[in-house]
Amino acid sequence: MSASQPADETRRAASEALHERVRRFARRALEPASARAQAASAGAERPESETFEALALDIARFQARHGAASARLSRHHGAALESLDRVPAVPADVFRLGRVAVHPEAEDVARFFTSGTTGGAGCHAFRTLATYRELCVAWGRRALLGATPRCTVIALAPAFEPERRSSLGFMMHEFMRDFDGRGLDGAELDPLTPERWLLASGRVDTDGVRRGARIAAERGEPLLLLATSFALVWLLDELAGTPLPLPAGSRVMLTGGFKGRARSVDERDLAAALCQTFAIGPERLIGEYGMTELSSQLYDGGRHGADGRSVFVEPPWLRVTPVDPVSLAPVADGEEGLARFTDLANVDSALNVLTLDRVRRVDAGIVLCGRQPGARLRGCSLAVEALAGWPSASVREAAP
Amino acid sequence: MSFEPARARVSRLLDATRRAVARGPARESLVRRLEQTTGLSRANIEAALDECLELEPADSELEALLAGAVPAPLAHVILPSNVFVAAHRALALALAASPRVRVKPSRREPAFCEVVSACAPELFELVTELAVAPGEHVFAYGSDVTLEGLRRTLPVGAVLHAHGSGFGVAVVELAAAAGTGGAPSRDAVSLDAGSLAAAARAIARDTALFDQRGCLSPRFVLALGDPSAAAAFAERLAASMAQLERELPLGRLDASERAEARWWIECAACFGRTWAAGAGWVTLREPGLVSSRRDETAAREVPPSGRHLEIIPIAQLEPAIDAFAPWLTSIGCSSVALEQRLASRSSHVRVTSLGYMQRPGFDGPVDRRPAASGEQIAADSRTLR
Repeated sequence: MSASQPADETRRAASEALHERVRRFARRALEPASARAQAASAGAERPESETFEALALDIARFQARHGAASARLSRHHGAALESLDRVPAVPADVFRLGRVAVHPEAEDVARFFTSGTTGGAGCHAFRTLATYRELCVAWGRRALLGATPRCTVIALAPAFEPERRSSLGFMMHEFMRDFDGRGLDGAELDPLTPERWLLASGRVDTDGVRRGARIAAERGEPLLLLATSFALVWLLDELAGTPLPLPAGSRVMLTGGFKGRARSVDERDLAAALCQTFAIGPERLIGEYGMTELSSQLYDGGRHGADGRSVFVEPPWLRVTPVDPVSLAPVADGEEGLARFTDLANVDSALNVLTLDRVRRVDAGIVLCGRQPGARLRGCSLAVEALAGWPSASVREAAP
Repeated sequence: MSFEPARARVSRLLDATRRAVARGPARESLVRRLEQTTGLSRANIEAALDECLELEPADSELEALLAGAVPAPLAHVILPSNVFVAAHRALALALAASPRVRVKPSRREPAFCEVVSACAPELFELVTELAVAPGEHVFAYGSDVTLEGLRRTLPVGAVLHAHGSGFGVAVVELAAAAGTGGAPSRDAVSLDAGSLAAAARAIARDTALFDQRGCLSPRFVLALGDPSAAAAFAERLAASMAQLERELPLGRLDASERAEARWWIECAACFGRTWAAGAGWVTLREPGLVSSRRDETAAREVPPSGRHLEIIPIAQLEPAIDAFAPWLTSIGCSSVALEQRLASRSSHVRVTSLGYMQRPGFDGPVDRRPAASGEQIAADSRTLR
């Protein structure tokens, strides 16, 4: 037995306890009010709900104790972790520059990579996927299914690999298991079957989408089509105006913009074309926002702000705070700032993640306002991406 | 081959620039304008004019500059905005190449070029738009992204001399660095190679000039020798930078520069130790934080402009230099021996003493990476890559 084993066991136990608290927090937060009232009236013994702040602070302290990056960042700020606003945020680039984890590599059960367009990629390492799995399904179910108990799920995305390299692929895989749970041919569920993953070698399987729609119609249930924006553009190109109506109640989850793509399509034009092609209402197009560096996702629920932009809503275990790019202090309500995510589900990596995405808070959620303009390309100074050979955008690996 | 016509043009330029910056009301007026256009502090502008403008080149330097020029029917110059004195050398190179020179100053910093032009209006023509014909040469200075955009707009057959993104590194021999400091003069630093204090002061000065916006400015310090001494040197360097800031105050950084600096230091702080260095930072990455799947040498961000340095402890010099090769424009050395060692193997890089990284010989472009003959624009240069 090595000298570090007791310390490792202590750390693992602390991590497990925090994961359990996060899952409990999430379950409580999503519990319908009626269930809460029912439990109260039945006199059921229930432990006190803990606050977001208390749980977040415990996670931050855990990370400062066991995570090298968090510990150093806290030391740099000289911040005693006495309140949540004193917990520094790890820039998303750090996931590309090194390891952000409280545990050693030997304990990794999954490593999700960002899409490296020029070589390298960021990596988010997980010691357990239990919390990720439960929370992504719970929030995804609420955002994508609503009251629908079951649906047929297909993905316009590359096949999910057993190596678990793509967080988006993992999430889609979990949706197939939980929202559908059956084989497309009526047999046992095999989420890895190619019939569900309809993007390969840069080509969309249009017939596969038709087949999925037909199966859902035969089952008398909606279809849930999970897709990246650019894959949907390819699908529309392939269809060349031919309608592909989906069964009643069907939804399309679209994620990812056109960062790093030679071609980009106006969001509103894309939405209009999709609604027409699939014969669905705009409220059935659900935007998803996620990052490899996070363990939680936001959905727009078909909501749009006054300027037509999607309004993304956080789950109760995730907070997005727009911060000033220089002081890193929260900006005034309604002003744009860099998105600082406080993700309780990031137990073993970084509670607070700072990104170069600019956001603005509106009543119901946040609106994306583009990327922070960089000074790096000016004059003779070097584009950091060029030196490191890494992409500037933190896109989840989903491209073929 | 006679360089006389070209020599005469360059000599006239030297005269014009000398007159433009000679002490007096005209210089005072120029400095005031440069404060506005560059954002640099007054002291930094004065230091740049006094130390970094090559007004009295040696004959051998001039010979080399003229010999390296490729004759051109017409030379176009696109000037950068980050280092205002760079216009002087850029004009010299173009005048060495052609009797007809058109200059497009930076929109942000046109002042220096305009003042020189006013002193010798017949030497070159100031333009606001570029109109290049096949066979003409374009001397362009800017970021790789800007140059890539330019490459796509030039006609086939034009010749591009592209000086793009790059930076310098300082090299310090920690094992040999012990003793008292001295003034950061060329001889003192070279002779006093053992002086950590002198090396720190010299690096601070190389970094402070132009607020580190130039492609010669050091962004990294390679600390050769005992890694445990790197932290002590980092502390000393930070103190020197803070002290120099009182003499050469940091100028105005725009919002995106300040945001970039903040982002960088937050990243750097996750990987190592940090020392406040006046308005800037010195960082030292601790080993073992990069996972085994990464190349530790490559996995780093370039410190942004605004007087920030990262110290990298190294055991072997050449591999570290090679890792930065594509972007390396200058190396500042803490000893003459080191200078000689690196100069012999890095002909495309300016190798100088510490404290002299911003004042290379007037013998050609500061950035020696591109081929002297330039790059012939072909049809496939203009397609999207």
